[in-house]
Amino acid sequence: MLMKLRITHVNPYLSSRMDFELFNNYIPGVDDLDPADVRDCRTRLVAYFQTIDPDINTTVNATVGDCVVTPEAIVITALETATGDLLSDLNLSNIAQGIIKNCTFVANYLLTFSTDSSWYLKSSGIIRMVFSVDKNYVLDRSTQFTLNDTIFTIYLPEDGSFYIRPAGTDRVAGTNGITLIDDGSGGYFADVPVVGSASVEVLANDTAAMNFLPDNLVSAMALFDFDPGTQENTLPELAQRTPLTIYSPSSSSRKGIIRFTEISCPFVKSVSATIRGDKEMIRDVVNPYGMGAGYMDVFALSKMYAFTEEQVIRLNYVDADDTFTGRFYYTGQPYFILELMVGSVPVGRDGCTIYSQSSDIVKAYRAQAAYSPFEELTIVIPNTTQGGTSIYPVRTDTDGTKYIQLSINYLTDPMLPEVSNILLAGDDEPQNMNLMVKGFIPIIIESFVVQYIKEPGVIPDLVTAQEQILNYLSTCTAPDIFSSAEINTIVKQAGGRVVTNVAVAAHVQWSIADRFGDKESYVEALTEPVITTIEQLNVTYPETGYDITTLAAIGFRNRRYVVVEGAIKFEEQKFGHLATT
Amino acid sequence: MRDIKISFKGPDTYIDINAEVTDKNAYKQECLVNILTNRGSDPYYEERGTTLMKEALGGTLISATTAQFACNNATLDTLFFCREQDTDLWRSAPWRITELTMSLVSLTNSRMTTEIYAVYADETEDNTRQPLPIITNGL
Repeated sequence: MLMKLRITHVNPYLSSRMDFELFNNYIPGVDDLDPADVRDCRTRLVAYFQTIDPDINTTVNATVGDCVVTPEAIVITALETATGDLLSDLNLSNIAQGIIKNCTFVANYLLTFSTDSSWYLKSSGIIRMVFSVDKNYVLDRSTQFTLNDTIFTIYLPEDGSFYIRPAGTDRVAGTNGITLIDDGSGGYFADVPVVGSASVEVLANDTAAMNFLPDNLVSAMALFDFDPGTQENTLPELAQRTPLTIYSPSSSSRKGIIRFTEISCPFVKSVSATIRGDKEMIRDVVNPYGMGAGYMDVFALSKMYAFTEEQVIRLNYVDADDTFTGRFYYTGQPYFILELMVGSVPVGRDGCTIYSQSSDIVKAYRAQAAYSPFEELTIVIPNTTQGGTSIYPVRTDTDGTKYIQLSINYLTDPMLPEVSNILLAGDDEPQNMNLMVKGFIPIIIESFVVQYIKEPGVIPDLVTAQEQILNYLSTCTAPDIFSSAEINTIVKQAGGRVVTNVAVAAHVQWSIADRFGDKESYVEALTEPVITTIEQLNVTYPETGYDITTLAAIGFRNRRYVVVEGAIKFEEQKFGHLATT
Repeated sequence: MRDIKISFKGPDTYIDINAEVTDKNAYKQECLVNILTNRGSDPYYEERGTTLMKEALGGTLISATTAQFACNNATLDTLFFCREQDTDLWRSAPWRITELTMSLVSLTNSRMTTEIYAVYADETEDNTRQPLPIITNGL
């Protein structure tokens, strides 16, 4: 017999106060309460009451117990449940996992951090403008490019207009701009970074219309498929971004610069930073001041990291050493050369020597300049003759200068220079800190053979497994480290039973160049370490210190993996035949 | 131990807020409430109550023996449950019931009358037998 109290009088003051978000949206129904929670609350209430008056019978079946204590326990349990749900909705970690009790409250709550659904990632990309004349051009800040009925504006980290400078000239610090590059066929191009509305589809080679046409413009086209950005964020996605607005992004710490880069450069896929004391930080060890000067290296990988660029560069004939030599003015720092051709004559990587020099030896010297905007590359191709005639199609200028046109296909991250421009922009450039933005040092994987035993009766999907392994290796950068368990998982999901061995052949490419210096004075780039086992992919070299000749050092924070086409293969092992290599 | 008195008068049972029961009577009242509570009616305490009322109203008490058997079960269940709910303060109280008996007085088609008899921890007995009429056509 459970006595029920009937409320015949309602205090109007209380009833108006009860119109509160908590009651309306968080208080659960009586039937939704867990009986165990009510019992637990009742036990606590009884203990509490007994401190007031231990004589009163508050147990179940007692009049006071059933008419007062039990109803109070039900209400308090409901309040405790509501409070717990409210606290959960204040916990960004829970929201990020999709644990949300009241969407309206959470949306308003995230607004207090200036995080709302309109805080989306803009669409970003690069427009290649080709000019017929090599000279100065100025694009006003109001310059607009229209692609697919959407307006894109130039990404301008500095004040002032965007300056396109003649080929061969240097960038002027503190200004927006880029240098023209000779395309080898009478034109000069510049890659202009742009941003626009999210969720817009822009494909490679889409033509851009401009509100103002500069002189001598031949074409303006999208260089690659633009990153569409994200239009609407779900509450969990907003919650994941909210800590970015809380933690002060700055250049004063490793995490600070990473946060700052992620916020300022939404097209970045991964970013890592090395500071004084890190194994990979050499610049802070060897500097002309002889003391720590607040050096920080930022390694970045954009979403366009596997972009293939094709350029034609001119190499003039040098009679003194019978070579064709020329400066390689690249659009974005190359990290792997795919093909070298002179006309229809393949050169091959062994057929040329690339020299690397630093444009600022105080800031970054030798290997420290590799994959950074400070690396200047020079290509030297020895003249090979056959029957007294060069095998290469040699051209002659009107002034009698002999030259060849080298077609170079290479992999690059075209957005990396923009990361450098943004982080070193005038208002954001850190004071009293020597900051440099570089690409990760690539470990070139020439062979990656997965030996496995397949699941009986299953045809493994090796094509998908190959794609997944390629994607995993290509994007494995700090804070992640390479794990063979991931390869196991991929192969198992593809229908393999177990991976018995992975045979690896790889090497660290300290620079795209073979030598640091120039033809007259140089040092050879390191050829070690040579990687022959899967465990060695997590290479740290040298184990202690750095190479004093080239200033090379690699570790967890500055390495990435580049897989040569066709390197990933699978070998099925019959059960009982375990590979020994 | 103190509690508000319940006057058991069949369908006219009511809570008398002007009267209280103490110690032995309070404990006996607690037991009576449990006997008359239907097992399963309390969503928070599954073991609370007895099946006596359901059996009486359901017409399964077809003989005096069956009715007495049901009363015995009810008192046993009640004693176990009530003693389980005792707080630490009361476990050594002299008014705590150690033995509870429910005797059938009379059984008809529409009415069952019983008497409750209790023995307390101080070994005194409840000499004032508590008549407990159960009207099977709607208590």
